[in-house]
Amino acid sequence: MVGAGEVGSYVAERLSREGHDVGVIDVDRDKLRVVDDAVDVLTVPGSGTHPDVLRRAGIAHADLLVAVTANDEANLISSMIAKSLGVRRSIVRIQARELRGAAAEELRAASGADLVIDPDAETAQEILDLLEFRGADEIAHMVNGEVVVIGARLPSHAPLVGRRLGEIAKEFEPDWDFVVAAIGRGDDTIIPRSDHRLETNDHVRIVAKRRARRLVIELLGLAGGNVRRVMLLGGGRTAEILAESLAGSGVEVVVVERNPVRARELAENLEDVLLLEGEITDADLLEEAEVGRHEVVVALTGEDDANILACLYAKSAGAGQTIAVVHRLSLLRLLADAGVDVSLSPRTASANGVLRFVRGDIAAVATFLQGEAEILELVVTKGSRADGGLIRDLNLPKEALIAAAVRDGKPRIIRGRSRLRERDHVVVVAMPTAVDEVRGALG
Amino acid sequence: MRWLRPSEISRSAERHPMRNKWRSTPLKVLGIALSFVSVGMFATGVQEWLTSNRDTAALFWSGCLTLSTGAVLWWRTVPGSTRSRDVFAAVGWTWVLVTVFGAVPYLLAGTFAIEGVGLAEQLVNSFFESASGYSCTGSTALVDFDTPGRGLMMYRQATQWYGGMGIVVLAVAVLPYLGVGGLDLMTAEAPGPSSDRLAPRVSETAKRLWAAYVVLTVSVAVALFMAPGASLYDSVAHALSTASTGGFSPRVNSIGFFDSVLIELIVVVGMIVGGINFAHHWRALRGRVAGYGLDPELRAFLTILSAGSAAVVVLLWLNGGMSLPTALRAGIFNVVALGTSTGFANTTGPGTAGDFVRWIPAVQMILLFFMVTGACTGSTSGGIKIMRLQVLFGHSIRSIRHTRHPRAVLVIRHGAGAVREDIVNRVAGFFVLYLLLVLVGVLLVSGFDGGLVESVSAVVGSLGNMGPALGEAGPTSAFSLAFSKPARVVLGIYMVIGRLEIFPILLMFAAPARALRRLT
Amino acid sequence: MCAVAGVPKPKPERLRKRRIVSHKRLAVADALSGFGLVTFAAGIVGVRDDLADAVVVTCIGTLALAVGVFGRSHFARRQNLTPGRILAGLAWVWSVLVLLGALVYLATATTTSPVTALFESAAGFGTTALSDLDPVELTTSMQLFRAGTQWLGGAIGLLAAVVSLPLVLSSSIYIPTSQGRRADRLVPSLLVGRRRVLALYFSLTIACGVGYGITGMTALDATVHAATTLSTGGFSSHRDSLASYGAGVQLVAIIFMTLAGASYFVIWWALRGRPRRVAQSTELWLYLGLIVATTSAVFFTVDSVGLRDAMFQAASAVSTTGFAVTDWTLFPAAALTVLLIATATGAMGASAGGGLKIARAAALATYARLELRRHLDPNAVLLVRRGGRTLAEDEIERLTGYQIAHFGMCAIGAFLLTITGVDVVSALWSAISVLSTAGPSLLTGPFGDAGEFNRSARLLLIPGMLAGRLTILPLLAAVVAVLRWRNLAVVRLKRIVRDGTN
Repeated sequence: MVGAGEVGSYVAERLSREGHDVGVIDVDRDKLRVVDDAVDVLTVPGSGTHPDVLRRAGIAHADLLVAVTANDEANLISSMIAKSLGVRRSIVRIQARELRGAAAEELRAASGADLVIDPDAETAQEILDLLEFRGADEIAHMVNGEVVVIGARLPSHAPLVGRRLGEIAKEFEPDWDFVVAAIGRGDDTIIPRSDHRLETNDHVRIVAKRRARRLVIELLGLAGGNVRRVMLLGGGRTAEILAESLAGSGVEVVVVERNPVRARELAENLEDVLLLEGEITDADLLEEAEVGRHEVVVALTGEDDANILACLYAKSAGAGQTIAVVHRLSLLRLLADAGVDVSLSPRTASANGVLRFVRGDIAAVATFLQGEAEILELVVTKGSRADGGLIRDLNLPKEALIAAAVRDGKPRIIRGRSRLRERDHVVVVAMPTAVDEVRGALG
Repeated sequence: MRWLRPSEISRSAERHPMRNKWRSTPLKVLGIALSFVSVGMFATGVQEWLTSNRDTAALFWSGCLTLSTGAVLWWRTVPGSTRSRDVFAAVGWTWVLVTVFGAVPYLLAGTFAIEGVGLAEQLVNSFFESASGYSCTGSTALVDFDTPGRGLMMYRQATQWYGGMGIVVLAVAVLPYLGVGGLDLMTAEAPGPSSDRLAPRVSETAKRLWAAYVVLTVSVAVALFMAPGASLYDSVAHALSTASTGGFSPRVNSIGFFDSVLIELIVVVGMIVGGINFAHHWRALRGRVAGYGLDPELRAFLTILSAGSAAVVVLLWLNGGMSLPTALRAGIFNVVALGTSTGFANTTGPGTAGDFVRWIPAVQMILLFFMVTGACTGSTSGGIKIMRLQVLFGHSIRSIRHTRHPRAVLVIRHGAGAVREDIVNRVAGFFVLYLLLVLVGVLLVSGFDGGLVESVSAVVGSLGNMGPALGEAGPTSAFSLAFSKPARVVLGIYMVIGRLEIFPILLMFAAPARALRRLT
Repeated sequence: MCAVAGVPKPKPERLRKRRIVSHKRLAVADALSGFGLVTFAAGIVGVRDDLADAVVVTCIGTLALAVGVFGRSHFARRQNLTPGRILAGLAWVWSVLVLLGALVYLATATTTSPVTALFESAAGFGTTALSDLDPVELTTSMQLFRAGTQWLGGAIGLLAAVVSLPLVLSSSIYIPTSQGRRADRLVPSLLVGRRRVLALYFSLTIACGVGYGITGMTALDATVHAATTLSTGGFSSHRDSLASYGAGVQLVAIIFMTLAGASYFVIWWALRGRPRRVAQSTELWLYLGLIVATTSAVFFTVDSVGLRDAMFQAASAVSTTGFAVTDWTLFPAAALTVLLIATATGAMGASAGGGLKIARAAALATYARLELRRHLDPNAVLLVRRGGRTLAEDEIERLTGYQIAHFGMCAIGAFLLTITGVDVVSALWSAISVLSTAGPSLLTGPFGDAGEFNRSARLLLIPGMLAGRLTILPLLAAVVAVLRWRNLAVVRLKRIVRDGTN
């Protein structure tokens, strides 16, 4: 792992918890110390572009190099050197559009990067998903989008509140369109059974067929509906990507950026987007822009406190939904109660990409900020225990649940009496500790 | 006692190595321009000698005068500084003096020496006619179109052609690099893969543009000659003033003389082509036609032109009491003639279909707008120019949006790109000056006994190098009848000011004014 | 926009009951109270002349007053003022007032045509001297009501120009900055500023009325004309405006028209005994200079006109009032051009007058000169200085942008007028004159007879008069907002179509 920034340390943590041996390299000793304290990994101070530093981190017997510093060039060079030192696979983070385009194809080939990730673009995509399912705070698309995972905190007026999962299930017999896959209550995340009762303020994750998404949003008591006005606080790359995409589909977008030069640049690049110059925590500015009239306010500067403050102000001024990009995970617990509807971190978006790549046979994986449960997409291989068997005979651990399966493009919700066949894509909800067991059962 | 300034010392020192030549950009440019113009005088003099042989001497002698002055200046000077203010002065003085020399043939030939007319009237009319010619305006003080010889009439057409030639080079090759009044927008926006300058050197660029200009003139002449009804003389004469979007005609009824739809159509196409940026034409000659489609200014120009024509035709047809074919013919022709700042008329006499001063007010108002707009930058047309209007429109919208969102960062778009702020400022400054000039002009002209309609439309028309105005100064009348002498002088000066996009002429006086201030 | 000075200090428990409402509702409530007061007074005074009219007018007045006062006590201003809200508030206030005014004309059967009623009402609140009614045939109540609409229009325009717009737009070139002692400031805060401006406006009106009375007007005429003078409105109770009055009345009119078009800051300083600050106002000198120049231009180019008449017409044009004492439409073209330019330039900023405003025109001229300079010294740092300070970039942008918009509005208005059949020059003149809130043009004659316009032209002029009074901004802001909305709507529509075909 090169780079102990946001993405680096998060991915290191996840990989290490799954039992991989991880070495982290960074120029900044302080950052390394933080990682060292929190996670069981080997830390090496120095630049990832120096072969001897890489060697000291144990590059010689490494399977994978992940270069995720903020510097594109350094990432490319790290990858190039690592390949020459015998690493099998490498992941490189590249942000500059010029280096991502077709023109830089040869450069990327020369660096030997197997996967190129861009946290900004992925964060933007995540926010776009959230806008599409307004009210939800987590969205993940699995199996080409045939199955969606929707996470949300239950408001008191939601139709599901106060009911047992068994009752709910009965109501939607015979053919289920969705299943409650995980419940977060307080600090705990549980994979529920039919006798669990849903309560207000539970954080639920529902795995649903695509066509049932409206129904789910309704059952969760969320706003839904089309978004007409969006305000983006902070004019970084994520905001630019978001604004371009939103304005292109006819949404009124307002972007607030504090740097005049950057603001002008954005104004030139983005058509039909209103750019305001100023601090995002300037109440006058937000008032002038009539922040209360916006259905969604997204705060995505690099400063957590500013993002949160701005979201709180927007909420108090009457904005519909507020989304804050938060970089420090320890703040998360405070936010939901304080009035920030959704908080997300650029690190999870990228981490998902890395994790997916690490577990080569898994087509998709989603991890979330809240709680520990992961959602995986696996393929049933021929001759495995699951091939042709009943689910209830698999004896899966309590910490895992097979939620849905897609066969020939048709999704269905899996129950105890369902059968799987080879080449089925299944969506599994599991705690990290149970991941390997499930994988063993399926393939 | 007064010390010699360092600049003066160096200037006197420079004289010796250059063998007593004057170091002055304005004089050098003037010399070149006068020599070129004299060629036109001689050429039309030869034509006069071969045909009507009435004003041969006048043309010949004024040719000699102009050539000798020009040649001396050309020979005896070397170009000096090319700082923008000196180039401004050069351009301004050249145009003014060429206009003065250009008036000589009319004076010598006695074109305006009708009975009962004093010398002052003759002087004013000659200057007016010359200014109208070299500025490609097309208003005339001429009442009697039959007396002057064919050669002199051809000279009158040639002045416009020269004016157009000068402005093409100025607008495309010189002024943009000085950053005059937003013209450098064009260089910033010029589409296509090639660099924005057509050639690395200004003189090379000028030659190429002239090639495009000559090709346009010749094609219009050939097309007219092929059409039934136009003689060789008429074809050449009208081609000269079509390509330059000038609007002079040796015939009293202008294009109405032919009374032919085909000829009007040819002229309409010629005017529109003359109203398009010549940089595109040059590229098109080289086979790169894509430039036309990519230019947002051109698109706006054609849109405005067609919308205006449609509105005029519909209004004339429904409210103006014309049949649809008549309305189509009269409407489109006049909208294009005014929209490209040419000013041809297709009336066959006072009160006939093409006489737009008799049209209903709404249509006249549209025509008045077209007198202000002008065509594309880098063309031979006058007026404010479409690109400036686009910037102004964006600017005004932006300022209104700023009242609601005081801290918004808004850019003005032109095509795919954003317009630089200093250019926006320059264009806004240009517009404010334009308005101020119009106000002062209307005050002056109406102060010299002009009517209100005539004053407004003639000032706007002169500043935009249009030609005929509304009211008494319409297409079937002459300015010498509608305006008093001082009013005509004002209008003549306005034509030159408008032709050079305001700034050079106003700045021409900046250096003398400074010197004066230093003295006092 | 409160016509009732002073707001009672709310008790804590009352405050809690007050609902949080938008700024515009509060503004409308304020305007309604003002409207109610004026209308009520007009009705009461007119009882002896025509009972029926008086009763109707009084009733409408009482009703408006009741609604207004109820609204005032029921709503509390909680929203911060933003430019958008101010502009929306202005637009709402004017729409409501114009509709109510038209209702009064219709209810009293002063006219049976809705267009005429609307036109008269818009001309009133737009302080434009164009009238579709014969003033001689109006009853006392209606006479007073009609003058009252102009007085109200002037008051609201004044408040917008002096208090609201500068506060929110934070920069307006004709507003002196906070230099000087606090006590000298006319607008130390929104509330105090309002009260002072209204008090000043009211006292000036009274002074003007007294002046008219002393010089020979009847009480009714003096009231009517005082109201329409100070608001730079220009309605008169006579068909020939002030022409039939003697020299005394006309002199009083000249003085008060000049005052009405003068900046309230300057008047305020003068009253506070600060002649040096008054003398330092370049705008004031330019203003007086423009009046003198116009006077002399008219006096020297027109043989038949005396100095007093020339002064009168000059003051009327520059302050955009629209009174007349001679038939100036018969003047030669040069004098007409001068008058038109004077009208278009208009009065001083921060006054009840309309037009482009002197300060703006002067700043524009400076700007144009500097742009010329810039070509001589491309690298020079050139700043536009007005009133002892330099204008910021955004102020200059607003300046030029506004001027272009103003000019564009004139052009579009003139074109639309020609479509209704007005000739080119009259149309241009009318457009400029109406957007400057003066009114009379070559077509209508010196006394602003709107009957010369046909129905569609009058309908067209109604928004024009309001746009002129509101310094165009709210209208244009709305148009721009709609355009932007439409842009996005088109995109949305395209997306729907695209999705539909997929």
